[in-house]
Amino acid sequence: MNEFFKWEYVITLFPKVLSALPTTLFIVLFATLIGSFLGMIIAYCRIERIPIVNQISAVYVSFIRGTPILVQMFIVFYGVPSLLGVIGIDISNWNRLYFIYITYGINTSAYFSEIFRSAISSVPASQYEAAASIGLTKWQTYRRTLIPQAGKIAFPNLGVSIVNLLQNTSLAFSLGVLDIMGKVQTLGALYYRVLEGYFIAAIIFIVLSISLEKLFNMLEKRMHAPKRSRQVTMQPLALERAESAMTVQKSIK
Amino acid sequence: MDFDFAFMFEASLAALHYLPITLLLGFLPLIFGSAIGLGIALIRHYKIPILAVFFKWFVTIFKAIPVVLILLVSYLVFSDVFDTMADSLALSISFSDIDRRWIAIFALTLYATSGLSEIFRGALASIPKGQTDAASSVGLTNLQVLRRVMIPQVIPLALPLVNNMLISLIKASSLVSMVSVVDILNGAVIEANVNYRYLEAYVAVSIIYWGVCASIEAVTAGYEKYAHRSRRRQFA
Repeated sequence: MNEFFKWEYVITLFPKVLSALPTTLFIVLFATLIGSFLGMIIAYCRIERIPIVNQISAVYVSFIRGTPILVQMFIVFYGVPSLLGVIGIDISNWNRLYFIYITYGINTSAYFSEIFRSAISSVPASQYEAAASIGLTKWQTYRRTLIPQAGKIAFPNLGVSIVNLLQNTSLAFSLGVLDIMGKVQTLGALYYRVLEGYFIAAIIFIVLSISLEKLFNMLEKRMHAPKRSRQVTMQPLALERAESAMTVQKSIK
Repeated sequence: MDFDFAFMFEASLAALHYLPITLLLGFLPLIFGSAIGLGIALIRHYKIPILAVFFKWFVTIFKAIPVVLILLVSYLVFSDVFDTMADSLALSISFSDIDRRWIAIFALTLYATSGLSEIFRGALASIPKGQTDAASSVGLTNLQVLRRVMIPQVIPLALPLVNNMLISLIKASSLVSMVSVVDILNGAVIEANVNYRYLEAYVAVSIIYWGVCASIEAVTAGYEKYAHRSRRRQFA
């Protein structure tokens, strides 16, 4: 029992595990970037109901959301090389990280597209019609009316989704990528100290998820806070103008 | 590209053989987690002194740890501690005798508990305070308020989210192969170990998972439609 858990190993292993942190963060970053780009395209196709693409993306989203990411990872790992082999591109010497980026990007895109879609469709349809009636093009309508409003609604959900993504990256080690969990496993084989490694990984994940959550909460609060400075400068101006308009009318009388 | 559809079919048949285990790993943690989660939610809702703070930290920590980590750590701890515990209690069972599925169920229950307690807490908080006041003003005891006013409203509110939890549990149960439990994923991969056609095996498994999750989602959608319809009839 005494040999079961030793604090001295926690201290010696901690910097070594921490050195794998950038890999995990890069997976999160790339997955978020790919996910938001693909997710926007999918959400656009589904909102505009573009004939065949709409159905395909509905099936795609349902498939990605209905299968474990572990299975998706191996499908990408075995499927992409043989698919690209048909075209004649050989990627057998690719770094395994690229497969991880692709998998997590695809996975995130499905979740993000649903978030974008529900956010945009929660903006009342009358706004879309109003924008069209004053002659805005579709691009202008999206950029100036729909996206600014939908962004505020989507933001908290995106935060939750990114925290989930961070926790899901812990599966990347099953493809042999040296992220935090992968590092823990290799160090465990080296030092015969697995439990301490898991303890360190747990601490890193707890700190990361809680700080990400706090960050998103802070940004959300800032986003919804009334823009006080601008209001203060606006109000006296508006009052002055109203008074001056009255005085002008009076003088006419 | 050679994709062997015949083998895919074969692998999916082999995987379907283990479907009950995957469903068990989805439903049992959901049931245990709901019971414990509701308890935690009630403790935190009524702000019972020390326990509320304790469970607040419990939920925060377990929500932040990935499922794999919970699973691997509980396996490790069980395998290390179980034999010494059994010795000291003079029980004649050793670690190799117990079914590893219970470890997986234990780990998934921990994961489900933290998520479900938050779901129930949100549902409890969404019931207006006036209802509790009204119920106690007509002379109901606290327990009666809970049983007749709160719980009947909490369950329909939480049900769609509980269904989401069930889907994530079924997806998370694909990880149990790491603690050497054979579920549908592992069953198909074992089949593919013979001829290295892993892609077919994984595609077969993904279709099964998709089918299970899509049917759960369809049930949820059907229930929501039913719930909304009955409410409209009430007010008409």
